[in-house]
Amino acid sequence: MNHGPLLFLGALLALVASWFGFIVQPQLQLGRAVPETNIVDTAQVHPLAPAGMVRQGAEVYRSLGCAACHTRQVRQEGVVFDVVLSGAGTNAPAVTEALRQLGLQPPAGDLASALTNAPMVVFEGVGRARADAAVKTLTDAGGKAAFQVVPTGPDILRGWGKARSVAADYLYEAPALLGSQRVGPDLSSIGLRMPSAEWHLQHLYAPRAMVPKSAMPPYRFLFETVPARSTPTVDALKLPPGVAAAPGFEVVPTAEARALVAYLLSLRGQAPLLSRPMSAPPVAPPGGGTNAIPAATNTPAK
Amino acid sequence: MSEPATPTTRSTPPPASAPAVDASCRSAVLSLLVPAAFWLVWSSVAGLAASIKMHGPGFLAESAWLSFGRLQPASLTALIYGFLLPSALGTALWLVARLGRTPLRLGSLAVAGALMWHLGVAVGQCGLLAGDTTGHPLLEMPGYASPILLVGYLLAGTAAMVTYAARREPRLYVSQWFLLTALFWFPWIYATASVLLVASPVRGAFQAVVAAWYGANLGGLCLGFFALAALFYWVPKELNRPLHSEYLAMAAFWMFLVFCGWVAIPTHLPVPAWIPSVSTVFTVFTVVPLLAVALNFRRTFHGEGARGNPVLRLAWWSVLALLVSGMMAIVLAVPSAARILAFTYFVPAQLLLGLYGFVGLALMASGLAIVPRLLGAELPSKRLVGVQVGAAVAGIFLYAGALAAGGWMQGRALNNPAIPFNDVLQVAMRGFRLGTLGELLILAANMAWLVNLVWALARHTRLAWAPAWAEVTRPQTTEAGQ
Repeated sequence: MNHGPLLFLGALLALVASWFGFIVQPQLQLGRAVPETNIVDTAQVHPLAPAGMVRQGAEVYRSLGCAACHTRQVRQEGVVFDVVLSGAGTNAPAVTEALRQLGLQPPAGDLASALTNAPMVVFEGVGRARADAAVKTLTDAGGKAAFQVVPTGPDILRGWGKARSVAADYLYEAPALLGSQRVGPDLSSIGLRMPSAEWHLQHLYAPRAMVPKSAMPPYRFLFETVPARSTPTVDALKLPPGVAAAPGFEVVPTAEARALVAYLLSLRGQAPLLSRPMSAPPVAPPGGGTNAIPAATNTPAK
Repeated sequence: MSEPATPTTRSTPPPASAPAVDASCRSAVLSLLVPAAFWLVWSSVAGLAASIKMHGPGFLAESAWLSFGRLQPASLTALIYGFLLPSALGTALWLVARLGRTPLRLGSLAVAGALMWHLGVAVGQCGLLAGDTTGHPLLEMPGYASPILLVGYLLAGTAAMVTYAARREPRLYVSQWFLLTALFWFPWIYATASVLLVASPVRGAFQAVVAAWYGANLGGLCLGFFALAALFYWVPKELNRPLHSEYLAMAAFWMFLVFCGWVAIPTHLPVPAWIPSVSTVFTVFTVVPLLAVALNFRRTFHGEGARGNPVLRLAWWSVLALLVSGMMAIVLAVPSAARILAFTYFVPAQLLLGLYGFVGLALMASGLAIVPRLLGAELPSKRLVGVQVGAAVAGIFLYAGALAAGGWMQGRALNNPAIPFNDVLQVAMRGFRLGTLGELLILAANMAWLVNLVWALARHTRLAWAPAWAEVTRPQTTEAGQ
């Protein structure tokens, strides 16, 4: 009996199964994803379509293979909860008693006015059950208490982001340069950590002048050394003595360098989404909610 | 994939002799293998330059063409598309003809395919260095190189398929199962990845899933299957003893077939959690076929070792590299381990041990065995063969071992936020220094193979032309003497 066709079909099925599972099915799940409007607490849309200069910068980032050393994905190990008491309500003594019940020393003096000035962090980094119980105790006593969701993990403790990255963050990216190697730090929120365009330009030109022992190669080909004019060019880099241009010359960034920095500054972390609960207030994009990008300026680094 | 032995009613021509098969394959296989040896050397040169940049970032930093982010993918893609895939195709053409006891069909089509493929690699490498990288891991060569590569592959692949269909030996051997699956599956996954990542990209983070799926299928079901086909053929052949168990090999074949398509989606990808979870499960399953293959070869070697035979020595280390890199892949799929090891040098250590250690050594073994048969003469230098085998094995295991250990320390430090980031890198560099030494050895091995191959080819050409040359330059005498 000839089993040939049967074997062929079996093998084909085995091969194509993963194609259906990992290509066709995720396409159905993710392929039609749209920007989310349900950022917690605000009406902002996430993510915003990148501006033209940012898109050019992403091309420079891709072309130079920055993703060979930098990731742009933050991992999270879990969440903990902070319980915050923000008001004493009408029955301050009861709330004071509730605080004592929770094993805490209430602030000295008038509780109500103390809370109006500075909300009291009752617990920090506790589990869900304990946070719920504390909120219930305080609320039952008439106080205004709530818990905040705080994502945790080494990436977050390093300040690389406030919470994990999710698929929605990369909606507009082609290619989505997530990276797989951390020779350099994660760049998910580099625009928040290092908001100065000047710093980035100096760092691209001479990394070790800005970060001692940095493993990043200098990207001098993104800059031009030109004869200095009587008045310095607005864009000319202010460089430390060791790496500064020869006397009579100045270093100015090319359009590529400026675009790359605009891209880096546009990487501003993660917005709180329903799929990514966290209580940290969303960071308003510069320019009052538009997606305008700060231009490269000579503002000194803070 | 293929049919079991069936008694055919039509009269098949008598099986072709081994020398006849070799002669029919010569130009097609050599036009795949010789440029592949050039790409192999280029790959290790680019890899070494990238490696030196890790120690001194200022090295070759004046040109965008030579930036780390371009040299490193150039090295890896030159290895995969320049050396591994054409070597695999060359082995496939030769094996399909030899096992089918038939001369290679459509040989000139295969030569055209080989030249086109290598042209595609050249275009891709230049494009990559010029800055047209796609940005997707293992698929960095720019989109305009893909059609050239695909057409070249299809031409050579057609020759292999037609030769398989024209086989005169009805009985199938396990190698043919692995070969035909890999031959069939590569264009499917390459076309899928090229279309969904480059030509008409899917949305956002889903690209990372497609890229990871492509990488897993390329490494396991294509390159891995080509390498296993070569190993299952050459180990018994050179030992002059049958494979321990063809049934065990077939069992491994089916298990790999079912599991391997799903493996190696990184656990940390920001995509719906079911995708990495399913992948983790399948990756862990691969332990069974991995052990089955290792056991099969262990029993076939029968404790005798390689007997000083370079083909067997490479094959032995290749099986070990398969086992170790497979286990490393499983470790990387377990979330608690991946928490530490993801984003570290452990990942490239696993990748290169699989690509160069397992697939590369197996295909080198295959090349060392096939080329003398094609040219009808031993390779010119036994010493160079020894250098190649020793340096390749020592280099890749040193590289992978050093980077895996460095990656482990790097991951431990990364996960401790108390350690400043710059100190994390200093920790990792300890492992990386040894890794560079490994890359130097790999470069030496690759050079040895290229020199030996070109030397053999030059000698063959000279000998082939000698009678004609003698004919031309012969003094005009009568033929009475002979």
